[in-house]
Amino acid sequence: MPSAAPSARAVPAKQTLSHREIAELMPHSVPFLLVDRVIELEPGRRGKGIKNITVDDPLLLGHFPEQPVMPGVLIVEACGQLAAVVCAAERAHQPKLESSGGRRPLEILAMIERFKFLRIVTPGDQLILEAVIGKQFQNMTRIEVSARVGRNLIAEGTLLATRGS
Amino acid sequence: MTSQMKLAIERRSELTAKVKNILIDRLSLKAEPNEITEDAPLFGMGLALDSIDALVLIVGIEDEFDISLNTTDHQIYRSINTLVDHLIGTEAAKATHV
Repeated sequence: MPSAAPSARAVPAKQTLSHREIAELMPHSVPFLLVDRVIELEPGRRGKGIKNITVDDPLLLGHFPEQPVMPGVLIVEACGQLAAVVCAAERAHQPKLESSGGRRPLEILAMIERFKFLRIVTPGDQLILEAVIGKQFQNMTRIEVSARVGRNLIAEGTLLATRGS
Repeated sequence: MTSQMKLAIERRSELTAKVKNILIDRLSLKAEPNEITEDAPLFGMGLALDSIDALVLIVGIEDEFDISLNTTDHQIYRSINTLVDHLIGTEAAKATHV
């Protein structure tokens, strides 16, 4: 039997990312890196990620001492970070820019076009984040995002992000 | 003036009014439609829109006209008139494909 010719196809992009792999793509670090794992990924197009909420999370300590609740702004931030991962994953193999001192450009939140919060998020919840990259104009990108716990929609909205360096 | 020309002028006026209303509504501009000059540049001097405003405007137009706008051809976004030119061209192209 003749041996199979080696495949000329490129290695497919990773479809999941561990916390370590996310940290390599992102400029954030603990406690402000708010995506624990990416479970679905189409680089540059869409992604789904997880953020586990724990009672000892330092971001929840003062919000509120008697009844910890994940602040809504951090849900927006988590969604924005997932979108940044989706964009960063696409650029992961692109050459680093000389003009930015070798650093890759960052996604910077430019506008919260709309955002709706439907339920509170408390310790023990697992947030399922989703980000879909939309229309782009110049360096500006529109992103549709949502956060769920189980089947319940927690929050959803539209963000605009720009590419900084 | 032929009736065809009259219709074309009326359609242009309608589209211009719609684009101005989208500008005012989506970007919360504190201006009346008649205060917005059709030939004024959308960016820099003129309406002084930034790229955030531009993307919000583009999505507003797409929603209103149920079309997908090309965001790489920046000539389309020079002024309200160039935007309306593009919308008229898109409508004409659609009509020839029906």
